[in-house]
Amino acid sequence: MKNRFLIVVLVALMAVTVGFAQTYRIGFANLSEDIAFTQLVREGMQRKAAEMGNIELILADNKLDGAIALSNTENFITQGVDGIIHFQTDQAFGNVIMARARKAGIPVIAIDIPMPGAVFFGADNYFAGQLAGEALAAWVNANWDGSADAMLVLELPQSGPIPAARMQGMIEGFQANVNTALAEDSIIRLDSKNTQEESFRVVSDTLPSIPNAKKIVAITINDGTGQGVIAAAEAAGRRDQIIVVGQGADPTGLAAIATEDSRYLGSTGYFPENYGDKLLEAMVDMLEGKAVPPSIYVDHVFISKDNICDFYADDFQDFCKK
Amino acid sequence: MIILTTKSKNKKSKLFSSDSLATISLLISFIVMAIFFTSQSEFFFTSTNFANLARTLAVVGISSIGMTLVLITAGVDLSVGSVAALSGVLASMFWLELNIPLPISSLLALLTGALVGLINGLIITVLKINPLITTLASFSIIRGLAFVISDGQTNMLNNQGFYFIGRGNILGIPFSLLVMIVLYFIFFIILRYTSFGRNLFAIGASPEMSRLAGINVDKHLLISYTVTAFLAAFAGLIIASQLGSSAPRAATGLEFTVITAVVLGGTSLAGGKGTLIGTLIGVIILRVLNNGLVLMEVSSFYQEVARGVVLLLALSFDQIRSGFLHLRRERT
Amino acid sequence: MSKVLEMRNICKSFYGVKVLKNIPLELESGEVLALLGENGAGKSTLIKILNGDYQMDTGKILIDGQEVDFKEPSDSEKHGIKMIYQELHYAADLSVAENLFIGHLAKGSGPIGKHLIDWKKVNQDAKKALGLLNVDIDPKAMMRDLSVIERQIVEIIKAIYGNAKILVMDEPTAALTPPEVEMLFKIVNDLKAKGVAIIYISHRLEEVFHIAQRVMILRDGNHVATKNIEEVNSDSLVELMVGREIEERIIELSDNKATAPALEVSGLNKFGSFKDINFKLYEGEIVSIFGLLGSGQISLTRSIFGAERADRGSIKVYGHERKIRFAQDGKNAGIGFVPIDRKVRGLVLDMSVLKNLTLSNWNNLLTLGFFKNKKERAHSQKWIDALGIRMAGGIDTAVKFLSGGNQQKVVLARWLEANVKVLILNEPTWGVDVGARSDIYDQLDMLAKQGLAILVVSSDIHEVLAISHRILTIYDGQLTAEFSHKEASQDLLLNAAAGRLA
Repeated sequence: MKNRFLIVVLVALMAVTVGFAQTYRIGFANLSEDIAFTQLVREGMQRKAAEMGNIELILADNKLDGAIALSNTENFITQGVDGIIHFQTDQAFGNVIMARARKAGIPVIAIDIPMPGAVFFGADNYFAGQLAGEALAAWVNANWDGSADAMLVLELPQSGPIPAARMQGMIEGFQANVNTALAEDSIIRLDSKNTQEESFRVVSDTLPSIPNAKKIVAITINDGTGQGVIAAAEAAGRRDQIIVVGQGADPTGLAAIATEDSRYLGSTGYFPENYGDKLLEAMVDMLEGKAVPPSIYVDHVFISKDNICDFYADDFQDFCKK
Repeated sequence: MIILTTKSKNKKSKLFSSDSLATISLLISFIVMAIFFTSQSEFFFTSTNFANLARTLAVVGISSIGMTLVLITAGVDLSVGSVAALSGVLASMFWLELNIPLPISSLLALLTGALVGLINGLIITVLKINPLITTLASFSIIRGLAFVISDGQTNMLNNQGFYFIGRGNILGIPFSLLVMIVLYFIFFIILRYTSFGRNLFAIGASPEMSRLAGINVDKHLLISYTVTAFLAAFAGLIIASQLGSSAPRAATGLEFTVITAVVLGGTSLAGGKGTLIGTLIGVIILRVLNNGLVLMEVSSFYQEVARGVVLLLALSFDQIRSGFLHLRRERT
Repeated sequence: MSKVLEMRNICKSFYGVKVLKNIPLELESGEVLALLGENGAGKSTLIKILNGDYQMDTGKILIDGQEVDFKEPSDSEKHGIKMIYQELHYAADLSVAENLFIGHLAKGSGPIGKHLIDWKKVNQDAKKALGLLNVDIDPKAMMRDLSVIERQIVEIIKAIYGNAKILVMDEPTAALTPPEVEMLFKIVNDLKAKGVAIIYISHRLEEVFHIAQRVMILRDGNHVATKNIEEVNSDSLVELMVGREIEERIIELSDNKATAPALEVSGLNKFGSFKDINFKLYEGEIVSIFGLLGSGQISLTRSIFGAERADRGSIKVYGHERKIRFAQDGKNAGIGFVPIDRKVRGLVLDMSVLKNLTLSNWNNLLTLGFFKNKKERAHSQKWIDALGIRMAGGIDTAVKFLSGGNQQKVVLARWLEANVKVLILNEPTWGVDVGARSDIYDQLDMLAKQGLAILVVSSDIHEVLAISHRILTIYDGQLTAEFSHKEASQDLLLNAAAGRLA
């Protein structure tokens, strides 16, 4: 609703200023065009640019590779962009990329992975995790008498501090709010490798080592990983012994939430489709010399079956009718 | 009687052929490994863990049958992972987008997989492009198609019948494992007791000799690649069934796990040599290795290292053994 | 007798080069026709056409009077034409039995059984087949575990077993010892008696006289003559093949013991291969080691060079004790080594003559670490002229296109370029035709006269008698006798090499 209103206001503003408004060329290099989440980011960006009217968006794909991100930066500079929005994965390349941009006098916004001297935009990972952890604790308090036997942590150690902050947020959010906090040795950390299959495999291999745990909570780095956990529990005939929360609220996760008798309690939303609004507005502010905070955060919401229909009623009509 | 210079050599190799010797040493290393894990984790040697292992063996196990065939012909198929992913994606897209009943969708996915193998085979035999290059190309093309068709999305496959492929049990034995066992039995017979199977070995050892012996080499290669892709497509359905969803990113790296298992099982990359029993043990060793390391709570980074080390150890052991035999032969 | 095969006016060109011109060939059942000609004369092309490997441009093939059209080898096989190739094609990791019957392994009986291979029967059949040559090879043994000679025997049996009507043998005796050759001839005679027609290709003329009824000679793709064996002798045959007269080689062999010993081997031992080897090789001398294959001579020469390691003993080159453990040591000591199988161990077949000549001698040709192309070419040309290496396309021709004799010369040249003082040759004329063979003998003679000490390992008794100043016989890893050129005779050598010395 708020967005709709904003759009109307903006369109009106544009109509007034269209005569003399400057057009900005803005380069956007996406993390990868292979991932559902980042596809939504790009689509949101294109939508917003069309709405604003004075943005010429130049797209590139960083393909999860720092070297490609650097070469995309150079291409942007050659193409004479006014600003760059970078979604790139390799922190090591941050310095070089920023040095090039500084030399060319081009402002940069970095998504999710900070780069020195760039405005940071992204998830408040710890907070996002905390939301999920709290929700999980509330569910355990209500359904399992306030205590769990074990916790599976499906993390992604290879990708450094950002996913780690999410996991930390989830664990601490749970421990702080559950009636009986889990002992440290009941928390089992597993490498999900960010895929559903790997999460299925490691959880399949781990379940036999906790034969007596009847109340298992699982926290996962993203929605797909969460589905892997549930599939493994189902295969082991222990579906009812597990409850899972995740991060991302992507279409896979939402579909799982909007299922009857789901073991996927919910997932913290990052709303990638809305990244474009904040990003392009901040970029234009920067280009027009207005003050912009050094870090801009996404508005996170924990999506569960209780509120999914508030956000995605159109996508799950059958489920929301009930 | 012709005076032969090799007086006692043949007699020695009679007791165990070099093939069965390799299988026995593989079994021994498996047992050593199992004993080690049993001593390290109280949960390793438990019925629940065995049930878990039994449920999760089929994907690599079934794909490895096909890989054994093509490696015996001195070929290789790098596209199995991509074919598995495409198969899962197609089954879900046929079902969800075209409203084709899921059993038929699955069948169509399997047939498409076989078609990919047939095309691989045609490129290799007709255009005479090296199998490594051919399947490296289809590895990339097929994976790309899986992304294009699914638009990069993961699709839920919520269907009890479909779940049965990867999750069902018959008499307490996982259905996928039963299928795998039956396939191993069938292909064991084919490799050991049919002209087709034996010809694969001849082709791998020397295509020229095979041609001179009147074997239709191209036909055999076509069938091998088609079968390999068909089995990979089936493995893809098992993955989709186990996960309850199909993803274009599924089975990433499956080809390397499979090649590792097959090579571990004593099949030669140079062709002309290999056994399905060896492959089966190779598959089990890899699976148990992963399982044991997880149970021991070894960091995932070290697990990768361990996999590579086991492969190298197994192969260098084999190399040293055959090098020793070779040394004895050099005398003459 | 009836004509089982008739080939009429066979023509074949490759890339516009005529390799066969109107060749006629007739074959009657129960006869052996020797097909003779130098390498490149067109023998193998003709055979490949008969086999269905190549398609002729024009001409006709008639089997039992019926015209046939062979598109692939399996077509000719159906008409009972079987081949024994010079180069072995076998599956190393399959059993002897399976190698024998590849492509048509015995099936069982019954509705399911008839589709399945009956291994028991396969092994029994194999045993029966192996019985043909009366050899003690386990049908279940892996081909890989057999010696070279055993593998060859299996190949021969593979071709003759079953119902061959026409058998083509391409140098079948190249790697066989004299008693094995006898055995093979006995088999050939058996087959003849059964009415099998045989086309026999060999460079060994004495075999031809021993076994053939008629000879057919090709030269440069032309049919020179087909004659009954009674009408020819070895001189006239060579003349027909080469197209010119070849003088009888008369080597002046003098006693060279007055000079310094170039190589002195004493007390050399290697467990399981040879023991207590003592001999001297003098400057300018050719010494042959004669023995049946597998008597340890190959291992011995490999150990002198360093390709293998002896257990103990000493090797002196020009009086200096040398520690030889690796091939590099042999080379540094001034020893050259030409292996038994040039194609596998001596030459890089796909490389040019030029590159092969300079291989392993790069040091001589490097200037500040860079190749000097001109220098390389000049050097190589020198050897090509000196040894008379003949090739069609000049110095950049790949070695694989050269004849066996010329390939051998390339290997020789390479060692001469490396300035060796002692040269070891293993079976120097295997697969080399008559013309090139005497050429190589002349070269060896010349090199010896220039002071090179040459050690030859050969199982060809005529060769040994023709070229050696001295002959050492080896049996079961031990030297059994030494003969001067004058003393040596076929009988003495064979007896000594068979360990039957009085």
